[in-house]
Amino acid sequence: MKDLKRSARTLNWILNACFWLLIARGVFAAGFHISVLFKLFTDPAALSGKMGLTIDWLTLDAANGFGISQNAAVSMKLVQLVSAVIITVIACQCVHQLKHVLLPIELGQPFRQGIAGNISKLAWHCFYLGWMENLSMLFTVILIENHYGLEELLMTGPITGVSIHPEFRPAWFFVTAVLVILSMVFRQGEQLQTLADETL
Amino acid sequence: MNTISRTAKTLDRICKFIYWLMIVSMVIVLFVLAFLGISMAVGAPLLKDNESYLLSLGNLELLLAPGVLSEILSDGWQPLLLGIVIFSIVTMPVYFLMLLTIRDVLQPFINRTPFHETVAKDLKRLSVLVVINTILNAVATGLMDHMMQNYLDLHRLFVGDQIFGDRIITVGLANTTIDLTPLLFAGALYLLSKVFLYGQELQTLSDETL
Repeated sequence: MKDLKRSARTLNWILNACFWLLIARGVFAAGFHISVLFKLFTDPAALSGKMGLTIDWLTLDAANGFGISQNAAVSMKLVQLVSAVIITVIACQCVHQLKHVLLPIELGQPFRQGIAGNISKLAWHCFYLGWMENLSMLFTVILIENHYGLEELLMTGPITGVSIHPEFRPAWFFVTAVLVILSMVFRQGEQLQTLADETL
Repeated sequence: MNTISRTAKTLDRICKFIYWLMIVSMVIVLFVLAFLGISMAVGAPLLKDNESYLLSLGNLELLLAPGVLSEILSDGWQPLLLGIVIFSIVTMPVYFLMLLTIRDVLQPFINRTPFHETVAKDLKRLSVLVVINTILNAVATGLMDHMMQNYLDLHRLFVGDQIFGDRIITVGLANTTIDLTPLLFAGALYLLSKVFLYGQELQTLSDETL
């Protein structure tokens, strides 16, 4: 039991650090996207200025813009801003929920009433995170495909074809499934704990 | 209790499917390795000049004109590629072991005895395997990154930097990042193994009482 408490406490410290790192990263990303959006609205000439685009392994740095419309640039930034904010919020909720799960374990009561419900809530957050991760990638890829003219941009002599497609990332859905089953097991654990408390 | 069994069975089926998928990819990797080994042994060129190759960069795929890939690859890339293939073979058994362990964990769940004595041990083993896998993946990503940065001259794919009318666009390679999130999962799994050990004690107590 001592080892269990110590492990839970260590994990809790790591989660605390993760929580603040997530917030810092989210605030930084949102601030950056908002500043670019503000620039796009107030100074449309910024579209002909220095711009960058990262597509996985590849970075495209345009010295005098990508030749995209203001609407396209704003849509792209909005997608990036909204997904950065929503993903940060859900990820923070996940960490927060996990801390709720860890609290009874830290106190040496891993099967205290309500822990199964908290794991179930955590599963839902992971499910939303999976959706958000995949949807944000899908929207980004659609916007790049439709507005950036990648084919004209990259199909030079040596390149005869360009295609971009979103990858499906199932990791968070798998975590959700594991958490769902764990919440059921913990519910059974709660019953066993009640029985043990009544017996002793 | 039926729901636990049913959900575990579904998850087990998914794991079984991934298991077979991995066996197929393992066979393909072995074939690639054999081909590379034989080609290097007989001194035959690994790339054919009259064939087009698809360069996959994550979500983006570039179809290269015939002969271009051998032009943009620097000398000495073959042993590195061989290293990456061998590395994939080393990491495969870890994935296999992880999948087998997950299936072992699920078995008592399917049999409606989640607090079985083997579960805690299996979860502990799984946490160690996740750590090993994270380290191996980090090394593989580093190798791949090294190859992309030093042996693949992407700039030669584009005519200078002037590639879209009067627009000057510089193409480069993004920095790869190593994902350490799995280590958090490893920690959670280790903790879970301890919780299951406690659950096992409660189960024994309950069995003795009833």
